[in-house]
Amino acid sequence: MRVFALFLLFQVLTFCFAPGQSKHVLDSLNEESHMMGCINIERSDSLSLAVLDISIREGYQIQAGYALENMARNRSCEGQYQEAVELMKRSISYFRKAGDLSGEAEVLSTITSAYRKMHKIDSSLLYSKRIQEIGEMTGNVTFLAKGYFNHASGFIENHQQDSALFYSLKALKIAEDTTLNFLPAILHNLAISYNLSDLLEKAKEAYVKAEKAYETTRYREGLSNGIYNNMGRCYLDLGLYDSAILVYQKGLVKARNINNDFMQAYLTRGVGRAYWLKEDLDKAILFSEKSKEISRRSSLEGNLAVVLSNLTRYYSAKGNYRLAIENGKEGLTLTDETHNIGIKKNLHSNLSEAYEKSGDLKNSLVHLKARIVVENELQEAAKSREFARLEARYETEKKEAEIASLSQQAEIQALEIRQKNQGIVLGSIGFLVAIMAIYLVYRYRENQRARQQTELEQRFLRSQLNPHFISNALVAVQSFMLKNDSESAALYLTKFSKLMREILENSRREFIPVEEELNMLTNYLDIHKLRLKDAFEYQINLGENIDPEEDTIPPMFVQPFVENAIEHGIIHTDIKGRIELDFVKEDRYIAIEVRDNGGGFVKKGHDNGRTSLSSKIIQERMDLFNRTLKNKIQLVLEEIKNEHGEIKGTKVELKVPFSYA
Amino acid sequence: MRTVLVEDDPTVRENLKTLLSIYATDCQVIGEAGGVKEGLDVLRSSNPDLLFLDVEMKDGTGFDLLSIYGKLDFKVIFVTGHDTYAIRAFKYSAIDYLLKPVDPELLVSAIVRAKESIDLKEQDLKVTNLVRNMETDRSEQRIVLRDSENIYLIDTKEIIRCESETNYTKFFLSDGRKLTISKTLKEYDKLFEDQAFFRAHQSHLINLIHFDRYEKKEGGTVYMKDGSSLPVAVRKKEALIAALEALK
Repeated sequence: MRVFALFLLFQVLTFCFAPGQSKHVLDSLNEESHMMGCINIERSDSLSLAVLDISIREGYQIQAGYALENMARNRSCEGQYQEAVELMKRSISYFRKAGDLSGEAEVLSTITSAYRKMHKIDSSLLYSKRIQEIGEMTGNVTFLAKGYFNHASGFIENHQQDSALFYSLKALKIAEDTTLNFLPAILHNLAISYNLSDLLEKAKEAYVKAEKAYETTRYREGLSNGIYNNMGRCYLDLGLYDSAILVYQKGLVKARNINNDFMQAYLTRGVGRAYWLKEDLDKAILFSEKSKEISRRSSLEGNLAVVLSNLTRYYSAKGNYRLAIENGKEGLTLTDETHNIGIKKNLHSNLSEAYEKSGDLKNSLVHLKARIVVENELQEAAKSREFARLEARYETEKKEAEIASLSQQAEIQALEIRQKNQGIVLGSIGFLVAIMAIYLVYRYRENQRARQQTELEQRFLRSQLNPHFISNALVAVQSFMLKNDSESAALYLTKFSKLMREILENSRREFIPVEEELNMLTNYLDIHKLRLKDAFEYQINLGENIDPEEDTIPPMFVQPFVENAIEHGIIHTDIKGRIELDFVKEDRYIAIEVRDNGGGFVKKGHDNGRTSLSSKIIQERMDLFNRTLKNKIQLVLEEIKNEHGEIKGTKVELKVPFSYA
Repeated sequence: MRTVLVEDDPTVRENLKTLLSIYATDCQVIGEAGGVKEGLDVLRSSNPDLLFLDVEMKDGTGFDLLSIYGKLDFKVIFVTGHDTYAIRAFKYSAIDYLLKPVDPELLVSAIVRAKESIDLKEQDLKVTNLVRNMETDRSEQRIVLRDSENIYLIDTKEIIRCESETNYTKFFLSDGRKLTISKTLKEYDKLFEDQAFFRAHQSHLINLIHFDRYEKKEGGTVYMKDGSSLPVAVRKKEALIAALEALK
């Protein structure tokens, strides 16, 4: 690993030959690029690129994030939303790495609108959800409101008016308590949500408020958000034709001032429709023709198709079938290219009517039939849209993962930019992979060993805390209590809990000082002695050459044999039991001998299962120890016999290696 | 009730006596013993109504004692440490038991049940089964099942499968009988751990002795030898195959 670190250091140094650029300069360059954004795209882009390059090299993540955001905005203005989205994702990953949540929220807000423009509403909703999360995390209500607002915008595009209304109202609630510069947009969303829900009066009220807010804040997107168009339509739906015309005209004045043909075309068409509803045919045709002209001039095909459809109807009402049919046919040619089937349907419908009125029933029938075909197509399209929406929902989870991986992507991207020095980079990647592979293998083995160790530790713990021992101990405590001997109960409980603590601690250590092992054994033996009312006595002999504080041994290898001596030796004899433990230092081992005067190894009752389990675990522990130790643990079991060959007890000799603490 | 204690730990005997004197004054201890042999003598000479019996003793088990004594003319309450082996045996024969150290509340309810709800015939059936199970092979175990009307003695190898019905378990037997028992499937899943049973699904426990075949299609289905079929949970497939391998 150290070699690799040196290698990286070398790389960084080679990149640092450019004179160090302070963050401050980068910030002002970013600012300049932002000002030029969408105006002088070329200059803005080249500034951003320079800032990005330096920021990555110097490791300034926030500056890199803003540079990418500026570039993304330029792509949005050019209508290249896909590229804008990619850049913004990279930008987000830099803000994430820097831990700059507010920077991230800003970019997220732009990314949601880009996705809406691309009609990828589910992606948009996903990102606006993230803005809300950031708002909640940081307690910043502006972000929260922005999250709600963008969420509402997404739902509006999806025609889910209930959700749109819900989130618009949530955003508005925050906006009422604080001053937000996008309050007009929130109100506008609210108005549209009401409008979609057919709550026209409420929608009208909200439109009026939104329009006023746009006026007072001079919010730059007021016009392009199409409030006048939407508001005019709402008035038309309400039957307030004159008010609608006023609204359209007001918008038109503003559109003309900034030479916005797009809005002019739409608004003029609106005026035409208003007059049509007022049954003022001449004016309806006049304004529609004007809209047609503007649309042609700026090749606004969407609007043009609608206007042509309208004109077909208007001329036909006027009795001018020739012009009606001319407009209708032009419209159809256009929709054949743009595939806007909704308008195609209207065109067929209007044309059929015009032919019928002019007495050309054959052509009328042709268009009537065509209309039905288109209508079916429309239904199919609606179905597949619904299907696509469901499908997109399934994709959501995938995208969430995508967001999570953005941070990692940033690292990879940084590497990509450095590909100018390809050789070194490729070398380092190869090196990294090799190191990773070695490291992973190492870690895998390490984990495996650790897992084995823990498993054994747990089983070991279980074997020590064998349920019989615990229930016996607790029976004894209960007995003292029933006899009102609270003093003994307390003493017993103290010893018991001390033993529990020692067992828990020692099960985790590989070697413990002989002294601690002795403490634990004494404690253990005392508990049994107390319980069995002094049915046995014990003695522990420590060899003179053992230093109990310095010499260490593997813990708790002796205790199971002591337990065996008590449970199977002492208890089954009628004479007073005696247990002796000798600790003797030999060469490289400490030999521990456990002797009892009980009934030998012949076991009685149904205990065998348990005993063998405990000795099986002892065997496993020994094996594991022996795998890593040079001096192996050794175990000798024998029965003590008198001169007549009768069994007089058991002897266990255990040789455990010792090491100095 | 004339009561005898057979228990090899004198401390436990003392505790029991004290607890009885406090919580069950109608139980007079008329004899006690610390082992199987001693216990038989006491029982034969004292003719008690109730016996508290330890499972593991110096010279044998409580089951040995009952087996030697023969037909029981008194009620038995078993007392044991946390011996999983013995506890499983009790559950197979639907026999109550007390754990050491004895909980006074459970002691009282065990005495009430011994006195009132179990008759000697029923106890005899259960204890005979307990003793029989201890002496026979694992695959020959019998289980005592009880519904609202009857007590059944069923060979575990005759159980084809069990199905969960909320808090009840439906047993499907090889002779076509179906028994509905008011215990959860989870309890039987745990009890039959020593048998060739497998929990194939949240609501299905199958006896692999009666396994016929496994079909992969439609998410996995097990067919039993009686022709019945049931679904296998996705997470259980590998375990099922492993269990079948182990059975061979």
